Amino acid sequence: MVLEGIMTGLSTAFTFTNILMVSLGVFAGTFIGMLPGLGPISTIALMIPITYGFEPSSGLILMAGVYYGAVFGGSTSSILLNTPGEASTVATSFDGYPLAQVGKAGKALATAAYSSFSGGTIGAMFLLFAAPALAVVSLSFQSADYFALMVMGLTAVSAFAGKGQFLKAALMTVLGVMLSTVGTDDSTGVQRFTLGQLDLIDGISFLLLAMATFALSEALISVLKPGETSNAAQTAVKDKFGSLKVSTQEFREIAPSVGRSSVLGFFIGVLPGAGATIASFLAYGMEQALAKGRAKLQFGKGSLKGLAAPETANNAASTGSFVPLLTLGIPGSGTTAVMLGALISYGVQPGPRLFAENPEVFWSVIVSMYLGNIVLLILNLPLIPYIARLLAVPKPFLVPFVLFFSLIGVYLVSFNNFDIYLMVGFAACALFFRLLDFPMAPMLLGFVLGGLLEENLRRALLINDSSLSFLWSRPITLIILVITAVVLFLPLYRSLVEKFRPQP
Amino acid sequence: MRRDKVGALVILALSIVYGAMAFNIPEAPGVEGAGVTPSSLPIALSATGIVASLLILVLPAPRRIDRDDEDESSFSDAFKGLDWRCAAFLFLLMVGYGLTLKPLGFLISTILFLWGGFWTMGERRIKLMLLVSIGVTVGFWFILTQLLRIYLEPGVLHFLGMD
Repeated sequence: MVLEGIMTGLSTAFTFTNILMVSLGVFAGTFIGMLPGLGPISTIALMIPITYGFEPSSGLILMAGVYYGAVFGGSTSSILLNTPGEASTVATSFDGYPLAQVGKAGKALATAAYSSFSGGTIGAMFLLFAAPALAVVSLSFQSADYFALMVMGLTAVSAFAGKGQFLKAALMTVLGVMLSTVGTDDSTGVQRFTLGQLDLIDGISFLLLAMATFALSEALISVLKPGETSNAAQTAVKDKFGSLKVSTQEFREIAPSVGRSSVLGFFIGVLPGAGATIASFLAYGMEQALAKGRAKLQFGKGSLKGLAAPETANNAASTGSFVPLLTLGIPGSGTTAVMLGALISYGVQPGPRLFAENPEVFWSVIVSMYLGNIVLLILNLPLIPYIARLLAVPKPFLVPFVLFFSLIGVYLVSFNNFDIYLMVGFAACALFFRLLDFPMAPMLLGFVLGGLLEENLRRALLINDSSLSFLWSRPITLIILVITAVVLFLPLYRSLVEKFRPQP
Repeated sequence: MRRDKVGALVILALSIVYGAMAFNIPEAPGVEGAGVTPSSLPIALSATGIVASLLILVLPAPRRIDRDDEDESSFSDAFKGLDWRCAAFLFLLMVGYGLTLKPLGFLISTILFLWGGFWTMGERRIKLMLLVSIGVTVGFWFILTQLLRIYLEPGVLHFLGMD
């Protein structure tokens, strides 16, 4: 069955249009993702309006390319400028930037590209077997199980948010779910929280929220905190890149790290809420712990292993995070939440039925991941010294363009001025919370999962004669909820213990 | 005041207002007693929001390993030394863009918006600014209207016969 699926995927992905799509996607993703401050979430959100009206599989293939491109673009700015576009490439800058400083930017970028390629490809191979297997199991899932899964997803994103961030992430998740309740209630037709505004009857558009809280607010933050990045960019781009070659000796050196990090990254990516950031830090930590002697001392000073590990892991995790998205329709991270938004805008509802009803979409996404990785390696890498010149585009031109594309992207969907004002409002709020160090991704995830959460809760209660017994009557539901409880209370317990421990 | 507490206070207020509004959501006709009413989830959310924000307000600052006790930083610190003037202008420009998009039309309002944006960001090379803003706007307009056949408001250009 897997083989048949691969053939379906190959025949869909290997058409002229779709190869063009994935190449375009990778290029555009690298371009936008490279801009300091704009991470993959903003990049994908910015690309959604452009792909409206595409065939679902073409649109998705383009998006998969954008995703990979954006992740790689983020690594490029981490290595060249030490300004990671987003959290998952922070670990890349630990060893990537020191390499660039000693004139080995080319080698660092090439290593990053090869590692990303390996991580992505190995991840896609796992995905090839894990996703169909899980899709078959998930066909037996009922509303109660889905409800439990969503609760787990929402809890996990807070639990994995990092030390001291748990409550803040939880609050932002709640805020996101609250925003999802604005508009007409689907099953009863009752209007909620519309404040008498006709424009809010259909609810808040996902694209609008994603654009406002990511693309707009990230661009505005870069205005508020004028840094030295543009000067650094000028010098980084003018400086020599050095050779893009990686020697056989060096390949041999990093190969084991790449192997380990791929497996680690993929499995962390599959977990809801964990994702690329945690995977990259864990892989870096693991390699540092395993290294011996002089190699260990190299970490943080330009170790190729230290660069390869997080790069491999974050790509493998990005691939892994597609498992819950494609098979259960549940995004496990902010980025996959945007991907889900893109899918829904093409009229595709991911979940167990996607696998059964639109196998060509399901398989072509998986196949296009390989394709995306290949394009990244053979087309992007040689061009990177030229693409990197974009980093030298002066900020006075860049910021207005980002604002314009965000506003017009949302406006072109609705042709409603109200959406522009709403975006400006959300951007202002997002700016406020960002300055207070509240994370935005959980809010977006809460918003996407909120509607599904309520729908499945309703259905489960309806099937169960309004009794809450559905929470424990099915073993799958119960197991998921128990895991959720553990995930929820472990960090809470630990942070409470720490807070009340007498200070030394 | 610690900055995460300020954030929590804001969300606490939001949760209370949201909860109050949730209690006023009308019952859906014919579904009484069906378990979940349109206001059930909102009420639960409001309660969760209130509890979680109160926890942040009451508990001492968490110690963070990754950044040295950054959570101790105060509200005013988080907002100090930022380029507010520039950001405020950009906000005004965006609102202005929304206001002018229909009456002035896509071409004129976009050129003005981009030009204003470049100026706000400190660019002063007038010719370059004009060239970039007009070039990008016309190029984008051409792709949308001529290639993708998407209708854009002509605005005042309508009267000049350019639509």
